[in-house]
Formats: sequence, structure tokens, C-alpha cells
Amino acid sequence: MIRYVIRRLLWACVLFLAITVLTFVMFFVIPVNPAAMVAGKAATPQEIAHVEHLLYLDQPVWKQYLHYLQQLFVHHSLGYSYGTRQSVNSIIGRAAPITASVVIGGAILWMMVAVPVGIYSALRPRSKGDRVAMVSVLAGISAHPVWIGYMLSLIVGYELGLLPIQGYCNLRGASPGQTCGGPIDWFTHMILPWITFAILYSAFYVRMIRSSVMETLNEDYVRTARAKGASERRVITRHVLRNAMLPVVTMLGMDIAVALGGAVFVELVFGFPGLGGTAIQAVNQFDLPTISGTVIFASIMVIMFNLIVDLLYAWIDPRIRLT
Amino acid sequence: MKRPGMWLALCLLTVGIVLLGAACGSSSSGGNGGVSSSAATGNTNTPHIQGGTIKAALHGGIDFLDPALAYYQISWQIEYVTCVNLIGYPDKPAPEGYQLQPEAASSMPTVSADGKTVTFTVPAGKYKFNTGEPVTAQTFADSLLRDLNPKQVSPFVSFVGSSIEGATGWNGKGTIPGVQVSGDKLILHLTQPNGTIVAEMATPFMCAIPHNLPVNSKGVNSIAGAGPYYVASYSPNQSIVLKRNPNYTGPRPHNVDEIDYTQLSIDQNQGILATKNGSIDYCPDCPTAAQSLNLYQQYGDGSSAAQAGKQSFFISPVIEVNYYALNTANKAFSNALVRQAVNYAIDRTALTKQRGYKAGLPTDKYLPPQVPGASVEQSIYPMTADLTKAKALMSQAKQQGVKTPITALVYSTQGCESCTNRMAILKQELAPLGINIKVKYFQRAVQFQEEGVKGTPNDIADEGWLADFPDPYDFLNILLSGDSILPKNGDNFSYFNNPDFNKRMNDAAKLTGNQRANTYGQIATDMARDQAPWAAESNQTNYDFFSSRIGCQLWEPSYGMDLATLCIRK
Repeated sequence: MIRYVIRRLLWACVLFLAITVLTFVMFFVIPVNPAAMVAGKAATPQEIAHVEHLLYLDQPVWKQYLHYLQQLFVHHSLGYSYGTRQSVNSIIGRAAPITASVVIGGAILWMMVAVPVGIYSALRPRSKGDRVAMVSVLAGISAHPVWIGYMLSLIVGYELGLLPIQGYCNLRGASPGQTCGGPIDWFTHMILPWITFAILYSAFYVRMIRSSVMETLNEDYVRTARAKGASERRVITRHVLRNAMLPVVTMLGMDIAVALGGAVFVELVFGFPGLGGTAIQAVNQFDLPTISGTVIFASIMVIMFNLIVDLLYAWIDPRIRLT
Repeated sequence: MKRPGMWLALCLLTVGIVLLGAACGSSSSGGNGGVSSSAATGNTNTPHIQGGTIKAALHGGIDFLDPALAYYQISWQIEYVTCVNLIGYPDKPAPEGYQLQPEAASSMPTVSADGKTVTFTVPAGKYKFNTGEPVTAQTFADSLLRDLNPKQVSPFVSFVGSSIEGATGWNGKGTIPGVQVSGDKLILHLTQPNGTIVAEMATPFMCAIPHNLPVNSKGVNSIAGAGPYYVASYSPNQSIVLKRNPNYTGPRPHNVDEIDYTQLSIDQNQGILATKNGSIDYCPDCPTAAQSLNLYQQYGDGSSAAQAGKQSFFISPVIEVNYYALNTANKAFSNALVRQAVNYAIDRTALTKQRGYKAGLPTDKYLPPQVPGASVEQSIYPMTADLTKAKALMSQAKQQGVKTPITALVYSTQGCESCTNRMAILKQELAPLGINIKVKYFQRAVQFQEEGVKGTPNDIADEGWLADFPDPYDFLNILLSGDSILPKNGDNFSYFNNPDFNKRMNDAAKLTGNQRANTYGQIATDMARDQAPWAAESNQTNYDFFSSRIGCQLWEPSYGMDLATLCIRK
């Protein structure tokens, strides 16, 4: 087990380095000089050269990359944004909890919907309930999250006035300039984003859980359990679900990890200053340090959740041994 | 056979229709547009309460609040109310709004006979920061030296760096000979006469800053202010709080107690919804061209809301020009007759319409109407196409050896709302002249940079230029002088390099007052008529939308909607 974890961590390091190299290379393929943007309109070549020097952009790409790694590993710094010159660590630090609020809450909601609906559909295939679920799933998959978000804001927020239209409130309390804050405001402002986020994913998960459960129901060991006189409840909970959940756990881990890298659509629609919005703004401004920062954060999340999922496998299914 | 799927589909269809109805219901009604101006002219007679808090939001956020670094339009809008400058623009609509007047200085600066010494007199203590610190001549010397310090990396260096004596090559230590303080006098020594220096001293880069404010290339977020308001707090990407400066005794308005930017990354559509329902009061960069017609009909100057004295949507002119730069260095447009033919062939009205409802006013002039000299500049080309004249010019060009068909490569912007439509129109309009255009779209920053590389293959650049200050230099010299052609990062996208016009522009840059305006106006006329390096298309307008409780809107021509005059209606 320990050897497995060490080996996975080593692979994670390689993957991490590969991602940073790719991010760098991709950035330098784009013919934009951030120094010219920083120096301002009508800047002279000398002024642009001065900014290039300050931003370390006058160095060869490989030197810039090594400098970046040195900053990262020695000073634990992701650098400073070209656009706003803020520390990328602080940018990510402020944005990550907001994205986490969306993703974790959304994941809980979508699993709360997907698990019972998926199981119900699998146990009663072709029933009216199953058909309702499947058509709803199709609608959920087809509707774009941006459209869903706008519609929820318009109807629930604007027309009915039941919930805030948009905006994020700090969980710990209102910060200066914010008119809302605290757990209640945070929760009410999160409901529509969670629903928006959950609709798409719960649709995917209902389908997956349904097919996984249906497949497991046909397994020999389920038939054996029934033949041995186990109650239907015991068969479903102990034999079917436990095995059917393996692919679900895998996908859940990956989806949460990817979404933590930036739940872009939901953040944009609801005006959340999370990682998705930060990344898009950085791309538009050719802000390499911020782009790299968000990519690195996302890749760390993917690597970490991948590892957690692998470890969970062994717990869910004792037949699996990590070697 | 039972068909539950069909019933479900019908149910979903019904739900869809209801949703569609809800969407449409909130976006229609009233009005038929019209063409009159909808600008905010500062109806400060609106019955209003004294004080209160305005809840604002931003879609694109800001870059900095540090005056040495702030360069976004929105940042300057904020700085306009948090800053005191030596000289500034009054809180008045056009035309008074773009007439410079003394602010912290007791009078307009005196300029020596040789034009190389500019002196401002700053009475100490006329203004105070919110901390109580007085504003003096030294305050502005501090501002300028901080801007010029190479460690600050301020864009202001590109404005005045070469003009102030000793600024070029300064290492940031001590002071420079070009900036001197003597008692209540701030004396600037210039390397050569510079007619724009006064206007440049009025930009927010020269905002009063507290003594000993550190040089910091990353920007200082919390700086005391001496204007009607000051920045009480700023959390990057999250919120900004402006509070009334308790020590402000100047003449500028300051109606509300506080302006809180509660969000800095609001979605534009949501921002409009939130403004409509009053959860925010103002989002300056939320209204888009796509929303403009509905907003105008519901809340613009001809709406029922306006008739009830509650107009809350405003369309105001910006000091900007949209133009098609015709690359004179490339074969396609090396002949002036071809360039003139293009100017006659394009339908400026149709092209401008693509930008959105009242999103611009068609023009063929190089100088926007707010800029001194614009009234002198003559209109040469029509607002709708004159193909007969255009074809006649092309025939003349052919006699001079121009061969058709001409293939012209256009660089335009990817993802901009109007670009694809305008390019389609342009293609249609130029085809009868034998000019076939091919369009290449770029992300905006890439387009700008590619066009600025000398030798660029593009023949037409789909461009626009927003003024930093209302002066003809910022348009003609920056965009059309041969000096602006650089190996890369140049701003002269037509690569127009005419020695005669270069000299005339350089000479005009040294002039001041009416002489300056008249000279630049004549240069623009001659250039457009004889050389036509551009086909100017339109002057942009700006949309502002407020919640119903906000009044006293005033469009300040240089910095946009004036936050200082805003009030909360009774």
C-alpha cells in the first residue's frame, strides 16, 4: 500500500512538471507580448524593453521556466499577475474557497438526486417513473448550464423574488463593501448556483447509476444471494449497490477534481470570483502567471482526487488490492 | 399502445414555452427608439436625500486603484472622484466638461516664452486628504516622481517620460532636474516645448498622493484620497468601498455617503437583472449592445419612466473613433486614389448600426467631436455609400497603373459582437470597386500586436481608439505620424509616413489654445481629403443603466458617468 502511494506520488510529480511545461510552451506560441500591454499605449521600444526585463520576459523561454520552478519550489510562490500585479498565491487563495463552495455543495446535491433516482430507474426499468427520469435526464444533459443559470435567476430570482439573482457572500461574514455575509446569506446565495451545477451532473449520474445497477443486478453473486434467501433490501444494499458504486466513485472523484479547477459556467453566470472566472480573465489578458497558477491548482486537485479514489476502491471492494 | 414518452415530451414543451414566455416578458415593451441623444446632462435638481449608499458592481473589474498604475476606463472613473489634480475637468456636461480648469492649482499653469518651463502654483492646504494631510506643490512633485520612477513601471512614462528633463534614464534615486518645487510652485522643465503637457497633467496619473507613499510596482491598494471621496477599502476581485472625504471642502459635488462596489465580476445579463430589481444600483460595464434597444425603450429618454422623471438608461458619447486603417505601406492601398475610393464606397451608417442600438454616431472625421479642432475639421466623405464617385476614383487609379482586382487582407476582432457583420458589409461594399477582402480574426490583444509589427501583411485594420485625454495629439500624432511606426508595438496601423504631414503634426504639437485646435483641425481635413490613410467610421457611445432609486446622473465627457453627482432619489 505504501509503495503504491509513493509510486503514485512520483508519477504525480512527473505529470505536474509536464503540465507546467505545456502551459509555458502554449503561452509562448501566442504572439503577444505582455510587456507591451503593461507598458501602456504608445510606449516606446525602450519602455517596453524595461518592462520585459522587470517581468523576466527578456530571458529565453527555458530560463523563464527554470525561474518559475525556482520561485515555485524554493519560495512557494506562483509569481505575480501581469495584469494586476497581485500575488498569484493570493489570487488562487481567494478564488479557491468560492469554487469549492460551488463544487462541493453542487456535488452533494447531484448525488442526493442521482443516487435514489438512478436506483429507482434501475429497479423499475420502463416504468412511468423510469421514463420520467430518463426524459428529465435528457433535458438536463441537453440544456446548457448558462441557460439553466439564466432561467433560474430570471424566474426564481427576478420574477418570483424568492432567492438572490446572483452574487457571492462570504460564509464568515460580510467583508468591507459587501452588503451580505454570514452562513444564511451564503446559503441563500448558493442555492441557485448549486441547482444549476447539479442539474447537468445529476443527469449524467442518474444514467450511469441506472446502468451500473442494472448490470450488477444480473451478476451471478446477486442471483446467489437471492437463492440463499437474503432479503431484497439486503441484496440491494450489500451486494448490488456496493459493487455498482465503483464506477460512480471513480467518476465522482474525477468530476469534482476537474470542477475544482474552475466551475466556469456557474461562476460566470452568478458572478462568483472563483477559479473559473479568474482563469478566463487571465487568458483574455495573456496573464501567464495566473494561467499557470490556476492550471497547477487544477492539476494538483485532479492528481489528489485520483489518488483518493484509488484508495477508496480498496475500502469499497476488498477484493481490490493496491500493489 | 401507451405512449408516455409523448406526454412527457408535451409536458416538457409546455415548460419550455413557459420559460420562453418568462424570458420574453421581462424584455419587451414600449417605445420605438428614435434618434435623439439620450445623454445624462446632470439633472441635479432631482429631489433627493442627502447621503445614503450606492451599491455598484463591475463586470470586468479594475486593474488598479493606485493612480500610478490605474489605466482602465472604469479605474479612471473611480479616480475622478477620489483624486484631486493640479488641473482638472469640471463636473459639467459637454462642452464645459472638457474645458480644463484649475483644481488644486490656483490658476492655469504659466508657460515660459520658449515653451520649456511650465509652472503651477499650488496653495498649501486648499485641499486635504481624508487623513488630514494637506495637499501642496510637493504632493504633485511626489506623484510625478513616483510615476516616473522606473521601479514603479507606470504607463505614464510613455506619456511624459521623454518630455520631462532628466526622466529618461533616471534610476529612481533622489529627484530629477525636470521636477522642482519652490514654495507653493511646482516647476516642470521640459526637454522641448510640449503642447500636450497641460492635458497630460490632468490625467489621473497625476492624482495627489500622500507624502512618502512607497514606490511599488504591484500597486498600493489603500491610498488616502483628497478628492470628494476616498478609497476606504479595496479587496482585489471582490469589492471596493468609496467613502465621502470628511476633509473635502472643494466645489465638487459629493451627494452620497458611500459607493460600494459589492461585486467586481458580475455577469453582464445578471447585472442588468439585478439593477432592474434594485439589488444593485449601477453597473457601468454591464449594458451591452444586445440589450441596448430594450433598455432604451423601457428606461431611455423617450420612455414612460423618463416622462415620470425617472430616466435610468443613458447613452452618452465617448471620446473615441472607430476606423479602418488602410495600410499605405502595402501594395493594395499604396495609392491615395484607391484609399479615397474606399472612403466613398463604404456606408458608414450601415456599418455603425451593426455595433448596436445607438452604439455610435457615423463620422468620416478623424477627430472625435469632443476634441479641440474637431469643429474645424471638415467632413469630406458621405455617411452612405457614393459608388459613382468611388468607381470614378478607381478609374483614375487604374490610369495611374493600379491593377484590379485587389485582394485585401483585413484583421478584425474575434468574438466582438459586431465584427462579423461589419466585415460582411465591408466585403459587399468594396467588391464593386474590384477590392476583394479576406478577413482574419484575432483575439483583441493579438490583433493589436500583430497590426503593430512593421511589415504586417494586413491591408486593413479594423480599429478603434479611445482617448486618454481630449487632445488632437492623442489621435493624429499617436496614430498617424511616421514617428509612431515602430519595428513592433507601433500604433500607426496605416503606416502612413508622409514627411509633410509629419512636420505639420510635430509643429502643431508645440502650439496651444485656439491656434493648436485650428491647426490640428486643418491637418485632419487635409490628411483625410488628400491622403485618406483611414476610412473613419463612427464615434462610439457608452451605455449606463441605473436602478430606479438613483438620480442626478451627469456624463462627464472625459471620465464618463460622474460618480460624484449621483444621488438617491426621495
